[in-house]
Amino acid sequence: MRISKATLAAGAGRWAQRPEWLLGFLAAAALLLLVYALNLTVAEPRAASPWGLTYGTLATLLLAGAGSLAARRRTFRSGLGRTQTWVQLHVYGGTLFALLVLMHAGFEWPRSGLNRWLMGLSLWVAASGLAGVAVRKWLPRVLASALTTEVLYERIPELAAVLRRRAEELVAAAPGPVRDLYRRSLAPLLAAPRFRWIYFADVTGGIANRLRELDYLAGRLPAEGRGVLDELRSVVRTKLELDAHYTLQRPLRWWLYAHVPPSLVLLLLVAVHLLAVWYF
Amino acid sequence: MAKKARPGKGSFGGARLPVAGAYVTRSPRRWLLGAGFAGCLGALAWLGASFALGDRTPVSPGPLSSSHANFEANCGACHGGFEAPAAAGCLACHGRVGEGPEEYRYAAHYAYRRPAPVAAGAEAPTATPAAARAVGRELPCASCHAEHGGRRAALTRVPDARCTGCHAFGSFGGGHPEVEVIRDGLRDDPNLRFPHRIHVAEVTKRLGLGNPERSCLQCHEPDDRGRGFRPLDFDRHCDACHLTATSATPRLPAGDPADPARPGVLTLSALQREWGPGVRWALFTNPDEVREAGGTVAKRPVYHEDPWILENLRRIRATLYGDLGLAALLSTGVDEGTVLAGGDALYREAIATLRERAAELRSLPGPEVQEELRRLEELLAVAEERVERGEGTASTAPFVPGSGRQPGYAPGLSEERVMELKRLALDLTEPCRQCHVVSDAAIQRVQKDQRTLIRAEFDHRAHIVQLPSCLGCHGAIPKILAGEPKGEDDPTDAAETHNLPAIAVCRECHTPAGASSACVTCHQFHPGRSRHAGLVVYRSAAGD
Repeated sequence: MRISKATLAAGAGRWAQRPEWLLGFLAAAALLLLVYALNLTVAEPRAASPWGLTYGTLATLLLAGAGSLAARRRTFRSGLGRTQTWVQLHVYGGTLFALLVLMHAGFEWPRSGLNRWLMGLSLWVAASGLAGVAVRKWLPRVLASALTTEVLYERIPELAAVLRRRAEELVAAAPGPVRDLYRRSLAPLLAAPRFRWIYFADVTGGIANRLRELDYLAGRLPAEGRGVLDELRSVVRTKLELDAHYTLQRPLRWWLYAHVPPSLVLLLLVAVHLLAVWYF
Repeated sequence: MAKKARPGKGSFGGARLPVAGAYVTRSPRRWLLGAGFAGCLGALAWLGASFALGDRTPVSPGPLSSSHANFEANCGACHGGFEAPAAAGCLACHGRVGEGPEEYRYAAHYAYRRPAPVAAGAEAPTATPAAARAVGRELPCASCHAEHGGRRAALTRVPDARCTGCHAFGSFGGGHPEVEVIRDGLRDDPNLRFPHRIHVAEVTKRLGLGNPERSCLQCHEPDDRGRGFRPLDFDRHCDACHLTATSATPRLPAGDPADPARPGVLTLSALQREWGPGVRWALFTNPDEVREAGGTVAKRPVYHEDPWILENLRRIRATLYGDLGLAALLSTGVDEGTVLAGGDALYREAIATLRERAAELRSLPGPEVQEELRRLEELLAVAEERVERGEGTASTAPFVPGSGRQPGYAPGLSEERVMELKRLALDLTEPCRQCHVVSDAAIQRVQKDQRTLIRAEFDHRAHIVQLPSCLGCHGAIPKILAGEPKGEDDPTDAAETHNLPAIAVCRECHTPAGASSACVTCHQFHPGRSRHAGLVVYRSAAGD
């Protein structure tokens, strides 16, 4: 069965914004693995062999290329290509870097301190980078499709306080059962932004579950009390959506802490490694 | 930080949330970079503290092997600054013990693997095109023996890829050629007449052995480690039947010391009168053993390495070839075609002969004799040291009669006289020729080590503990024994008959999934004494 270029690009397009980069990456990875298989047949896989040194050199160049994204962001804000191109190089180059590091080490866990740190950090940085890509692709889609409110992460505490005050105003004029419900379960919920794991699994279900109590009470209140309850329900629902934003936007901010500091340490240790290899 | 929203700017969402009163900026990432720099400082502190405490392991690619563990903290023992570890670092220790630096060079590898004798040690490496290419590109030890693989790493387990770079055999299972002696139908050259049929039958009968394997083991005695076999020894293996009290030479014409060109053997009294280094034994020999009658002489009984026979044979050889050179110092003949680059052993034997002869002169009075002896001892010590150091002693040519200053037979010797002398040598050695090969008026050197594989190692002990019997692999001789007798001169039943299985038998067990099939399981790059092969066989036989 022949697969046309268009079919291939369409298939890759389901996974990547720039399918040509994904296809190029897959081709490069396959080529590298093929080279490694050839290496195994003609020479032992050792870091110090010409093969191993070639893998190591390529890995270092890719690391430098991937790391230059940060420099480009700070130094060349315009020019030298589109940012998206640099990000693609960062993502795919960084992943190929991890593959080359494994090939350099012969797919074995190193035996000494510095090399273990190098291997561990390389894999961690690559994995955290890929996790960042996944988070950045998945979470915005979830937030846009499941929530009616869009909000900046930095404004969430302020808006949560607004909602709390508005709820307190509404409850002051509400019937007794509503005040009871507010005091018992809604006041703690509205007190501050809350991180809830359930939103990672099911955003809409997580919100609907918390509103069930209000819906139950609405069925039992006389008609004149329902207007306040409906307004309170809207406030609580908005607060729950703020919580969902608070929960789901947090990884978007914090994954960088898992990626950038280890990357800096990795760059330093690679420099030490190169110096040690050169010296010894 | 987001600035506090000012009221009256509008609202958004179902709950009518106020829009921001000012542009909301993201939190600064100073902590992000701060954490990174803190990590870098931590890493530098760790490396700095390790170096300050003398611990170099953080930058080491891994622990050293157990053999080199003492150098763990001393990188400079092997590594120079900004250059790869050189062989000199290894030889600082390894050159002091064992075989010496020359054993680790390419030249030694080529000597090890060459089947043909090496005429001159210095020329051996360039004897083949492959060797010529290898000269001048000696590899550092570390290119094959990779260190930093952990305490339990075996440095001698060199990967096959290091060998297959030059030897394009592929794997043992596919591409490895058949063992040469099987493939080319080569025969050993043991210089021994030994029909197995007669000997096995006699040993089985005498010792009452039921199992034929036990009769084999009477001569093929495992060595102390069980890897190979002890060298053949007349006293242990042959003396019980051969050269009894009735063994004698035929009657031979008596020679005249004054006319060495006249074919004949010297009587005991003539040798005693001639007294000189090398014939002292004549003074202590029973005169009744060498009987003279009617211008003829016969020796009875005849011993193994009988000095009377050997001395007369040497004299015949000297008459035949004129200048014997170093061959005069050997008790047996040397054929360049049979001695595998074993020049060192021949030099040692020659030096030992000279020492014995010098010792015979010790009793002579006279300060000038003693002074000469002292100088001779000094020269022998220097010669011995040079042999030990392997300085250009591989040539066997000086030990081959007729290949010295006067090639061929002695000048003035007619063809008829040559034939007479050769016939005399054959008659003189008639009792010896029952087992030995005599050519060029010399008893040819016996290959006593019972070794057939030149390029490979074989550990019998490792195999016999797993296999039910020797005959499971060595089936050639049993087939001869089971066949019809073809007389004493049956060419298929001889000492040189190979009794080896084909490589297919090895491949039944040595597979990638079974017993080891790595190159170094059977082959070695460096010919070492501990697991010797090829040229070292002869060094060990004489030197150890």
